[in-house]
Amino acid sequence: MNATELQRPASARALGDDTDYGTPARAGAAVSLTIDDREVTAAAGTSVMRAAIEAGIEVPKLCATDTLEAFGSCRVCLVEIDGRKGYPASCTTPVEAGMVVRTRSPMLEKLRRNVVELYLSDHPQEDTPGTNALRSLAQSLGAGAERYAGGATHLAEAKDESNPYFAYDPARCIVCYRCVRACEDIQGTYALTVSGRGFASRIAAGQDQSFMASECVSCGACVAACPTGSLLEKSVLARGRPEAATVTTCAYCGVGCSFRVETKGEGAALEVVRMVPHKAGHANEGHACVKGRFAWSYATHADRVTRPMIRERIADPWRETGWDEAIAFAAARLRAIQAEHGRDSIGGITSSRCTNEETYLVQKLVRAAFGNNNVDTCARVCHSPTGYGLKQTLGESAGTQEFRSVDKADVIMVIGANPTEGHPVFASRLKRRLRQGAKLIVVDPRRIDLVDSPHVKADFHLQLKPGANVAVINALAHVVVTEGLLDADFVARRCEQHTFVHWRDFVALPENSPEAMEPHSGVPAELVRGAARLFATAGNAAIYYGLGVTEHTQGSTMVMGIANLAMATGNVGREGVGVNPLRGQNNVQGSCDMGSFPHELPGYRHVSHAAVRGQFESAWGVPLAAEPGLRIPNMFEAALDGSFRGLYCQGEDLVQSDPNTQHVAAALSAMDCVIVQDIFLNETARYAHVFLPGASFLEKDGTFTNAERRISRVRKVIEPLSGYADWEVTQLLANALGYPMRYAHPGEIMAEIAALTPTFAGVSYAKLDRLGSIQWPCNGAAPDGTPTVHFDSVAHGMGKFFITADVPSDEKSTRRHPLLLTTGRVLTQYNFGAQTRRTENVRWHDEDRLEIHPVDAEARGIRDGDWAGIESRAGDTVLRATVTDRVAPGVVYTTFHFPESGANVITTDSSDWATNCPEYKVTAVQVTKVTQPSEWQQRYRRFAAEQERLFRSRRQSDAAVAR
Amino acid sequence: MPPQHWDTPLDYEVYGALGHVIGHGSVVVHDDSVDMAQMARFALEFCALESCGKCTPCRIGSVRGVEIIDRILAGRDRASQVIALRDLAETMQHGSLCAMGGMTPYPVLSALDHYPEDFGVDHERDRTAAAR
Repeated sequence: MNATELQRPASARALGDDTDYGTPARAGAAVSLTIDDREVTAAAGTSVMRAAIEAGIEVPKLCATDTLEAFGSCRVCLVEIDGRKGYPASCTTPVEAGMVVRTRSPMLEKLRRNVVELYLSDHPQEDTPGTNALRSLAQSLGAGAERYAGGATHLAEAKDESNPYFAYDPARCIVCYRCVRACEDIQGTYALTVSGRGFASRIAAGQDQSFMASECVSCGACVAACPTGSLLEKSVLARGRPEAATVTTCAYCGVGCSFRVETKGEGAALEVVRMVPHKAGHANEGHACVKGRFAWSYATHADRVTRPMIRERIADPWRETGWDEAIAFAAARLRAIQAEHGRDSIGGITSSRCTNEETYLVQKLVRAAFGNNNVDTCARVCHSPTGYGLKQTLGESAGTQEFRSVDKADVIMVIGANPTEGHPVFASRLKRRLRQGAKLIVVDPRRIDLVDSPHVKADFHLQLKPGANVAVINALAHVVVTEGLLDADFVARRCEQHTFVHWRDFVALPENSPEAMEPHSGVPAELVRGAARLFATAGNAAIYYGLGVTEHTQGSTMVMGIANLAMATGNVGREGVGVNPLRGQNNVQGSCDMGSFPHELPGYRHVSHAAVRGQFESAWGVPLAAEPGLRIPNMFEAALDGSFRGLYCQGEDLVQSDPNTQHVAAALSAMDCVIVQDIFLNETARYAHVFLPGASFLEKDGTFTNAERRISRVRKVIEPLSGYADWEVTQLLANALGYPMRYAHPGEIMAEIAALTPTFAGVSYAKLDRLGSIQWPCNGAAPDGTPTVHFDSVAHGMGKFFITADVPSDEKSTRRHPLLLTTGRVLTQYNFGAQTRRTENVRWHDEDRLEIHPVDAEARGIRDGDWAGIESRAGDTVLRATVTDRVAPGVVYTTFHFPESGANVITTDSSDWATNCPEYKVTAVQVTKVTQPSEWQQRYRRFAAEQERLFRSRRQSDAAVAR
Repeated sequence: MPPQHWDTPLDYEVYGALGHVIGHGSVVVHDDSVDMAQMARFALEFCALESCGKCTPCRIGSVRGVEIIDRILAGRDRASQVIALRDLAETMQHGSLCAMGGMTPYPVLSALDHYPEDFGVDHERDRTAAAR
């Protein structure tokens, strides 16, 4: 065999391959050796164990697993190697050319049996529903523990059942350290260790605390790693061993983890036992977080509304009805409104949680059946500036890299994002790279966990004031340009020269220097200079950013500023660099791709583009409006104005997520027909006339697209509780409106999308099944998709620089509102909590709290746990205070996972100049100590209670849930 | 080490050729009233005390070794427990991750081999019984 390079990327796992190869894959020159008289080849650096298993030779193991580096503690994988003394462990021995290995011999069999016998002497006899590798190994070796009967054991130790999702049974623990290693190397939380020594060694969480009391973030990596079921899902203990599995994609965040939904039973008796992260998943590679892994019971929660409901006025009780009547009622109302108020008086909102196919159908419904372009999506309120800003500068409305790219970054800048809370599986990957030595710059008004946590410490934390993003990015660019840190070669080759020159001269102005910006930004100039120098000189520099960048009046400006900086330093267009928007929702990227914006058809083509519009017109069989329609904020304005009166809202809770709640509520109240399609009765439904029950991700087929532009399959596991998947409901409505839709399966919808959208041209369900996932663009030039958008292709076009003058927000601290409020998320709750509030995750976070600095708290007589009233020019609410120095003086912070917190009552309608993305991240507020809930909260409680009563007293339909 | 070898020069290879082992430098001095079974037990007990706990042969084996010697001294299942002790010794010698578990069996085995009477073991009698 010739010594060719065996290039095996880190996740070269074939789909459907569940083999555990024992130790991680390596890439390197081919090495030939002999194992059990067979010629075997493996990449240099591969363990003998892995080389053997890859060649089909079984090697017993307990402490080895291929998601973790070799450990060498169980001593069950011993082999004989010619010329070497003793019996080396095959997991910790790398292959070498010409090695002669034996995995079988009488001595090896004896040693293995005796080691397993020792394990068994301290292990329970009874089985649990979990799989037990020790027991299987004992059976195959014929080992029993009778010789050691009566000795000391750990069998009487108490279980730790503190975590709601998994239990730890110390009696079953074999101290293989897999859980500890998983918590360290895979998750990066370092919550677990082994306390005690020798025989007394026991797994301990935190400082010998219960799991719940420790730093454990309940990601479940330890449970997945445990070979004996000592750590085991409570759902498996309760329901028994799963029998079948379906691979699908998580419906929480934009990482888009791939999961095996493990089930038991069939048909009506089918139940989900657990969700196990899928090792072959390209986005997550076998890891997950507490939400996707454990918080899935919301899908079958008692609050699920499974029958359609209608009512004449929102003050009326709901009336359950059959699908036909509900759809007919909705269609008739919508047409009546159009007849009276014009074609543009109704519109729709697509969901960033529903599938690509479903989103595509909603915008098609609006464009083809309603006849206008009044369609929008929740990306409006989160990453719309990304779409605008990156399209202007880099030419594409999406990030340029895949998550794996961070493995090659040398310096990472995180701006306005909190990945350990919002994109935990990506954060684990990021932290691993940081532990390997990459540098970190964090730009955030709060001291987020990433700034200082086990084995991770930011080299620079630019703790800026909310609203000062553009000042800081300009100051960083100023340093790059004036200190000779430009990548002149890249700029000359790949960027438009005239835009570059204008930008360079602008950014070099003295008013953009760190010193000049310091009073406005609150960041010391020498920190800015240090960070800029590090970014420009450390090698591969990557920027990751989130809503702390986009949800500002200057969101689009800041995105362009980020792209400018990346281009100026040559950090675009290869692995390890790039501009990476951390898209939040499971399908917000997809929703944008599918043409959910009022001005864009699928594939981000403007509706005014005659040729493109013509293609859609002939495919859809109707003329299409050429003028952009209403954005969500415009819809509200128009509703209050009386010209917009009907709305079909799928999978989106406007009342809770949009800013200025009172404004939104008033707008909805002014409409004649609000149709809400959702899995729960959400806040928006309280203002609805038609409620159409939705389907969770477990109940439908389709695709989601994550933050890496990665399209993955969603596969149906249970029949829709309401009888229909969301796409089927949209189809019913379209047909009732007289626009025929006859899709039999979402695959047909994707085929239509592929036929009409060049970046999706090569996407099909067959290809998705074959490849597992596809990153768009996927077309003739890239038939298997595009992991990294390479900037070097001429077809791509040149990068453009944009002047990013700092136009500070109107939300400034004043005497009346001296503090600045910013918002964010926690790990265990997801956005406005519709799903996670209905799971055990409330054990970690059961209310939104206001973080306030000790200096500001003391000045107001507020102590930790006191009720604090927060007032802005838009409204006021009350939250309990947490006094902490995570925020700087002058800044307060809250989360918004609970509707009664009313976080959006206080946010204003200030928004991004280009996209109307609301400025959630900066609101001038005053905080005072109070003793009772705010007036809004009291009104909210009364209104919510009344709507609850109207729901509970609904006239229930006897009609079966018929299709 | 039996009296007939006491004049052996203190040399690693020479000891090795005799099937004995020199440790890392500690010297234990005792007189002829010593109970070698207790010394063997102490070797295992010390191993259990010092064990880091990473590998199973030492972590569990050292504890089991003390239990086995206690059974042998109490006369419970003596013949089969002696076999178990030898098996355990072999497992620890060849299976341990480091030399602590790996070397502990040497003094235990040499005590058992050369001073069986302290264990209440008669090799001749046991061999004959096994042959029958």
